[in-house]
Amino acid sequence: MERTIVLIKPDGLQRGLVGEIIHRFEIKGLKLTGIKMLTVDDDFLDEWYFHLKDKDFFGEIKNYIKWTPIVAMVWEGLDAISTVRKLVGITKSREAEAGSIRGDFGMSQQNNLMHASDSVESAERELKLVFKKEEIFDYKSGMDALVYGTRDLNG
Amino acid sequence: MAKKSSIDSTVVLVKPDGVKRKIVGEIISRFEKVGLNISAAKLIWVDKTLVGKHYRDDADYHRKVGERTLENYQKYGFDAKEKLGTRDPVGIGKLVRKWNMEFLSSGPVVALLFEGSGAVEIVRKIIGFTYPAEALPGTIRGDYSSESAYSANLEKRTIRNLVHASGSKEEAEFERKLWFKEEEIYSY
Repeated sequence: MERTIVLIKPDGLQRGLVGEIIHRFEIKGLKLTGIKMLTVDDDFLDEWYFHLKDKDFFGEIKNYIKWTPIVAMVWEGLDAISTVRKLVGITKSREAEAGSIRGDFGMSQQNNLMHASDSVESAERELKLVFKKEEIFDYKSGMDALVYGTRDLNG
Repeated sequence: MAKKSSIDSTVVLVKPDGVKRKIVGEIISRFEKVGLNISAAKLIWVDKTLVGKHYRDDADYHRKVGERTLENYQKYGFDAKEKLGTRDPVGIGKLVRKWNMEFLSSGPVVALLFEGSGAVEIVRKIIGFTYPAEALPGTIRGDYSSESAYSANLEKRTIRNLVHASGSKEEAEFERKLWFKEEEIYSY
């Protein structure tokens, strides 16, 4: 099973959308295997957004993420990374498709509610930046057998 | 954004049945919608030591729980002696504590701290009566479960009622310290 990291950013937390966002992933059939709250500092953000470091808007991004605590989650499932990206919708929230989280709840490209890993490499990197091994849990649920068919699981 | 110990806060646990049934989001939403703030959240799979502190080992408490169980047994026509090997309320209370401990440590739980004026009472109102079959519609337990004391007693296990919430300010304070480290609690 693939793992992906999702952050609910300060606007999502303050707008009371934490439960709604978790619900979207749960009804899709993804499994929550880690969740924690945290605040981040400049060092963390330099590492997390290393590819944006030279952009002129980097300072604004930093201030936005440092505004309040954020909620970080690990979601697990087959092709979890691309599935979660699809459910989240494109960065420009106003243009994000209806039915996606940003499409349904966002009007801004800047205040775009959340982050989701965009590749296997970033998921691994981001997981290590935020979660300790002992904060992630493997568990069985009766739902597993309903969400996936035998062919999904065998190959 | 200083971290502080809050005035009105309450501990909510989404128990393993809620996590496995994938209704964590809906449960959190109920509290967000009423205006409570999330000041701590984590997924945690606890061991027997922590659940042993959560369900305290206290004779008075056992007696209370035991008496309630005996009442249910009487209501459903079960013989406690035959089913549980005793009619002693304290002994039965201890047994229920064991069931509770087994259940809460049977899988991961989402532990949450909610903050807001009157948080303890408001959260208790929203989760509803302990036995879901008797909980009112509109409450979490009333809407998401049909578990009755009957089925639990018949199978000699605890009631699977999705959520736990602190019962009083004192309990909230105790459980806040039990479930969270100070640095895991945020104020914003």
